[in-house]
Amino acid sequence: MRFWRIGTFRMSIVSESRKPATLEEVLKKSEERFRQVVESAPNAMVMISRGGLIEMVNAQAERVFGYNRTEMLRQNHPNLRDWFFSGPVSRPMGAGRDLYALRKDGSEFPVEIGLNPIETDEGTMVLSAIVDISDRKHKEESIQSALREKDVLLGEIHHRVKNNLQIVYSLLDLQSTNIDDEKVLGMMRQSQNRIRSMALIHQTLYKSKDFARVDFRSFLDALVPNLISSYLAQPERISLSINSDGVLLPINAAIPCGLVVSELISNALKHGFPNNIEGQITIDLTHHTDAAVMLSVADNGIGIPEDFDITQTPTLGLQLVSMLADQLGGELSIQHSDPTRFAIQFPLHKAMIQS
Amino acid sequence: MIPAKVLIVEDERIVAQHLRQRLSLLGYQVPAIATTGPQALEQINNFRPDLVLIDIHIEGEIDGIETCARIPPALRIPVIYLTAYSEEATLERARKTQPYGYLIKPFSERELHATIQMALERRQADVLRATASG
Repeated sequence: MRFWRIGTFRMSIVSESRKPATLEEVLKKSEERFRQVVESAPNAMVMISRGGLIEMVNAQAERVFGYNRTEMLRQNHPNLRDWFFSGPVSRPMGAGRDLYALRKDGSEFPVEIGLNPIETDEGTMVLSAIVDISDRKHKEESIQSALREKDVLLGEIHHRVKNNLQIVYSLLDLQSTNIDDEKVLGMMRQSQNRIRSMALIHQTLYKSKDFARVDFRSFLDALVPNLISSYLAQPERISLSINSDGVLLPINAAIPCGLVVSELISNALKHGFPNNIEGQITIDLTHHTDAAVMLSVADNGIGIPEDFDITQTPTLGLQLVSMLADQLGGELSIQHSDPTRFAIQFPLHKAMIQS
Repeated sequence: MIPAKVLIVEDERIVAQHLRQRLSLLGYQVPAIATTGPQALEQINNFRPDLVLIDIHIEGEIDGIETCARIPPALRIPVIYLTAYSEEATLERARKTQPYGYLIKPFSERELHATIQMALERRQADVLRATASG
């Protein structure tokens, strides 16, 4: 019995004739079958000897390359032969790279080539199966271009959402002109800051071109200095430290998380540092575990009263913190002083992609 | 001191109006708001502002950058671009018009004021230098 080794498959050739065949007959028949299989294969096939000569081609190879069989046989085929024979195992050629084949008329077409060592009487040969992948490439390109178009549209939408929020911000500011009451003015300013936080999330998405995830660090870098100068006449009296180990949040987490940070910073700025005292605000956003994120906002200001209870607070800002922490599926913990710290640990659900 | 005249070029009317209000509160005079490039060029000619605040993306055939490229250089009017985040290619085009500054939207009162002050001071220095060497 004789096997043709083709890749990892073994084609065993079994005699079908009634009378016992001689070994020579079996061999001849099996070779004939092999030739037929190769000849009628839907892919172009070219067998090359160790010496680099084309020993066999099939009908599809003639069609694909545009050469006659006679033009190809016994021609030298120099391509990377030594490299293949130095470790002859079945494998795709040029894995991970784009391969192109050349037709007789000089035109190129994209291909995928499988290389298989074949043991023959004349020694090891390499059988290449060549698949024309023009059609697949074409489809891939149209998918790529559709994806690019989708990105452009998504970017455009985030841009417009941001612009609309910007307009709402402007409207509130214009409306504020006619307000004399300091308390009402303060409320307008807080509303504006909330809208600005939301606008900045969309801005960050638009800027990063990654519409699935918000780079929270770059959001914080844009948000916090703005908040500080909105609340303090001398912004320089607060030093700021932002630590975020590259946490990326999906938009459904980023909006509430952004609002929470905005409220906590506002709260610290409004109440933490009276009488123009100096101080520091520290924001940490880190991966607590693979599946959870820890957000904390701390300040070394005067602290909050020991009897403070966030579930009973009349302040909208802190009510929002509590509500949004709940929306994030997080747990809120509060340290009243030295430093004052609000921390929320929330899970990154499956739907929420992390870095 | 005579307040500096700042021309606003912004097609989003509410944003333009808001900007006018902010500038007035900061002590600047806003002689007009233009919403297109040609309108801006006409008003620059009419009012000779000390500074132009111009949005890059405005309605009409020519955008903010092209508009600035068409301001007669002899007028030496400093330009500050207002822009949401823009493509690098756009910023590159903008740089070629040698603006006195950029303000990335949304910008704070402080950024607005500081950028305008810096532009006006630089313009004054440039004019003095040009007069001295000319």
